[in-house]
Amino acid sequence: MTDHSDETLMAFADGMLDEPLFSAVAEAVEHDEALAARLEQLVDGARLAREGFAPLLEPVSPALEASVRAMIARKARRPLGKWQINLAWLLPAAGVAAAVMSVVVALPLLQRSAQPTWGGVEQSQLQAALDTLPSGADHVLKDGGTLHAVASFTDSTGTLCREFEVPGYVMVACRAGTDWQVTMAVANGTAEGYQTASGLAVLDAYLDEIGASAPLLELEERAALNLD
Amino acid sequence: MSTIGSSLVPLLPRLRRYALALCRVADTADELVQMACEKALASPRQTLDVSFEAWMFRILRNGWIDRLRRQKTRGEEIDIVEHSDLGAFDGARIPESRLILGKTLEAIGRLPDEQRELLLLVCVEELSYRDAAEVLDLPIGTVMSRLARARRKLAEDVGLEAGQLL
Repeated sequence: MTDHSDETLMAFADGMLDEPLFSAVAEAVEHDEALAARLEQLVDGARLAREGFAPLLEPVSPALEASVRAMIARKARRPLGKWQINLAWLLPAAGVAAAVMSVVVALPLLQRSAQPTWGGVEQSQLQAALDTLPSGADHVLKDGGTLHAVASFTDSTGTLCREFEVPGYVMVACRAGTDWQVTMAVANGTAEGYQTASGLAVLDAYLDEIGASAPLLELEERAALNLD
Repeated sequence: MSTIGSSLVPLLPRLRRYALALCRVADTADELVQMACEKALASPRQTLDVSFEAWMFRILRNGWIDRLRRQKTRGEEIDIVEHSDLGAFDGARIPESRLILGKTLEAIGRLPDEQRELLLLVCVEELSYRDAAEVLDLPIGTVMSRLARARRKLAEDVGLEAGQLL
C-alpha cells in the first residue's frame, strides 16, 4: 500500500490534485482507516479555521472607513501629468504657494455678512463644528447647508488641521490656539461660476506642501480634539 | 473613484481580519489597514498575476514586518500582546452558548503566527497555495507543509478540548 504525505492528503481534500494521483489517493483512503483518519483531521482543521475566524469578520469602524475614503478621494483628485506641466507653466517662479495664496486671497470676496465668513459660513459655526465633529460625519449649518468633515491630519509642524466641505467649497482649517483658522479653500464644483478641477489639484498640492500626514484614525482624532 | 479605490472599501473588513491574525490587537489592526490602503493607493499595482486580495494582503503583511523591524531597531517595546494574551482571539468574546467556537478561536490564537495567518489565507480567504506563497514570499512546498501542520494541530487541540468538555 502506498503511503501519502499530509501535503498530498491536504491537496486531495482541497481539490488540488490532478489525475492519476487523485484517484490513487481516493482509493487508498477507502481501504486504509489510518489514512482516512489523517485526511479527516486535515478536513476538520480547515473547517475549524473557517468557523473560528468567522467572528473576527466585522464591519470596520466608521472612522477607519472615512479615513480610507478620504485617501481614495485625494487619490482621485491627484493632478495628472498634463496638469502638473500646466502648473509649472503658469507659475514658473512663484511655485505652489502662490497658487494657494491666490485662492485664499479670493475668499473675502465670498463674504456675505458683517461677520467673518468662509464661503458663506460664519466663523463661529465652523468653530463649533470643527471642535467636535468626527471625520465622516455631517453638521447642519444655520442656512440648512451641510458641513462634511473629511479628515483630520497634522501638518509638518505637528499642528492639527481638518479638511472639510461646505456647500461649494473644500477647505482646510488648522488650529491656531483654540481657534480654527481657514488656511485653504477651493471651489469644489457644486457652486456655479467657479472653476473646479484645477482648484482641487491645488488643494492636493497644498496638502503636499504643508506635509499633511495620513488622516488620523478615530482614537487619534478623538485624542487630538480632546473629546475624551 | 479609482479602480483600486472602488475595490478597497468592500475589502476593508477582510483586511482588518488579516491584520488581527498578524497583530491580534484591534487598534494596531486599524493602523495596519490604514497604512496598507495608503501604500496601495500611492503605488500602482505591479503584479497582475495574483489576485487583488492577495496583492493587498501582501502589502499589509509587509507593512507589519516593517513596523516590527523598525521597533526592534529603535529598541522600542513592541506594542503587541504577550504570547500569553490572546487579544482578539480571546474566546470570552464568544457567547457561552457557543463554547466550542470560543475554544476554537483560542486554539487559533495559540498557534504560531505563521501557521495562523496561513490558515486564514487558504482555508478562510480561499487563496490558492500559489497566491498564499506569493503573499508570504515562501516556496509553495513550505506553504503546504506549514498549512498541513496548522490544520492538524488545530483539529487536535479543539478535539482534545471538546473531548474534555463533553
